[in-house]
Amino acid sequence: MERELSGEFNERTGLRVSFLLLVVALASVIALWTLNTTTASAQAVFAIYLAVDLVSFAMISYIYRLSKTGDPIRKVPMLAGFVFLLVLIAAGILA
Amino acid sequence: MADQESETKSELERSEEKLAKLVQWFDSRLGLSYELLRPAPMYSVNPFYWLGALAVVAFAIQAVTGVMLMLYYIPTPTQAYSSTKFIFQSVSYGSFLETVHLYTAYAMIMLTFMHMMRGYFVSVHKAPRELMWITGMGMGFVTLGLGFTGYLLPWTIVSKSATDVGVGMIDALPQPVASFLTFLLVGGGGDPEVLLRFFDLHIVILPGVLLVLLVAKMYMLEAHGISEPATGPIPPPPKKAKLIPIFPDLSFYLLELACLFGAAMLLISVAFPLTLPPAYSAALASQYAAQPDWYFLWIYQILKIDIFETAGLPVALAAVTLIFLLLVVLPFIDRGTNRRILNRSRFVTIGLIFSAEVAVLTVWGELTPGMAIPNEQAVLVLGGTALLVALVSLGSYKLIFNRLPKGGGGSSSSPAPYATRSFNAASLWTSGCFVAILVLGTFGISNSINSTVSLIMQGPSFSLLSSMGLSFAELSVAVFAIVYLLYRLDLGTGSIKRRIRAFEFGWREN
Repeated sequence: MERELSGEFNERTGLRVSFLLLVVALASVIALWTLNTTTASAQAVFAIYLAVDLVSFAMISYIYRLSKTGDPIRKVPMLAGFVFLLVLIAAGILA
Repeated sequence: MADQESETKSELERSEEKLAKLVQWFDSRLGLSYELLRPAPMYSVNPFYWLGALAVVAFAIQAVTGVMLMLYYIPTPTQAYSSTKFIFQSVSYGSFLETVHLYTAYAMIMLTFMHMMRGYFVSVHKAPRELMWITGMGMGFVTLGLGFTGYLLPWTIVSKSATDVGVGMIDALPQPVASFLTFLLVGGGGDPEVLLRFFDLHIVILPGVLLVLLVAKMYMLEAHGISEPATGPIPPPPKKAKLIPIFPDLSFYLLELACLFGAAMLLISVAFPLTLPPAYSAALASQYAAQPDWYFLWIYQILKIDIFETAGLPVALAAVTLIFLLLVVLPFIDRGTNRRILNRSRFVTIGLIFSAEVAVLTVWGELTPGMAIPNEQAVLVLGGTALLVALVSLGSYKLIFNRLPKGGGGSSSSPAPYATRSFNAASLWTSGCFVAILVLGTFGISNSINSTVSLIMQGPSFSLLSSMGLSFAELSVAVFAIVYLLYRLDLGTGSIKRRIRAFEFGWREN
């Protein structure tokens, strides 16, 4: 059943968002492997990108769980998650 | 002869009945004959139901990071510090692993405490979950043991001095307990043996015990199911809660929480990277005020109070042991069948006082390292905190009950007045005013006592008299404000109410 309420994603949008999150997670994993982790600053970047992976994974799991149970995927937590991811990626680039 | 036979038979039956009852009690508590992995109620999709699970996630992170650290760590007094320093400076991800290992340990202890206090407030210790509570308390003690034994391992001045204080207290315990703990922790008494024993306890024995207790608790949880919500003033109508399967719903919900928790731990490690304190040496130790890590600080602060220093360490340790013992046997003290928070004002208030005292003692301990605490100061701070929390808690209970509809609540179709937004805002304002007045009152009490004592000790002077006058005025204002606020909340009864009414009446006339 497609949901068209303003505060919720429908299943197809959820799938697209999951794909985007998967790309973000994959990019951050690739970034992790490029680091020379003997220095403290590189270890901080490593931790930030690992956090990006975990948050992306949590969001994918959220979408999967709600689409399985048929509950609405609410926009507010998804948008908050994306803002958080952007902040983390920016922090990783700046660090 | 026949009578004798029938008597023996009935005796046998009676003993069989007793045995059956005992078996039934254990079965109903341990869930030996229950099915596993049953669907869970919908209301368990709530982070507060998963605090214990997050503590287990923290334990898993600890296990992974701990195994990695173990590859480089050498548990001898001469090499413990240098190997830790090597991990910090030369190993890839070394300082990151150390930091994450420490912070997840802190998170595990904090989550365990929160899990225990939440369980206390929502009465999960009541039948049939008594043994789950006792097992959980055992897991809590093992968690503290993991913290205590792990703290020594880097062999820094901070960790070694703190552990020496802890180990030194063993002698003050009753002889059999002291002998057992000395054998377990200290052995022959030399530094190499102590470090090796702490290392073994930290990486093998305590994690093993924790895992066994975890399996037992998980089994009992599966048998009894997740406890029902205990919030709200009126029990919900007896209807079946919506059930959801363990997979994918609850498993994926836990996965989400675990990922977010892991991300939070990583980011905290980045924000507050760990620095290694100097290595332990006897010369440096003599200049250093030994202090345990934050989770033992509240106990240490109790031991620093003058009255316990005078009475001796055994009395202080007995007092602390009594607190722990009361927590363990709580299911057999708080035996009432009512689980709802709003109907358990006494136990909830005691729980709030306990939590507040632990927090106050911890912060206080952090602010006064190595300083003895005078008795009157302890009475003021601890008594003031208890008074403040008790008044706020009981006042809130009265406030909520006075606002409840008469006869125990309205119908389920019409919302009760206590649930409205304006009521919530009013409650918030009233609680804020109440807390502010009580803080003023607490300061008023302590200032009045201090100035009176100074006046007696030093004799009268203008500055002392004026400060005493001001503090008594502050106290009077606070007392007046408390009485007036209580009256405004319809709590005043008898003569107080009559007097205030007369006062208000006169006030309007003037």
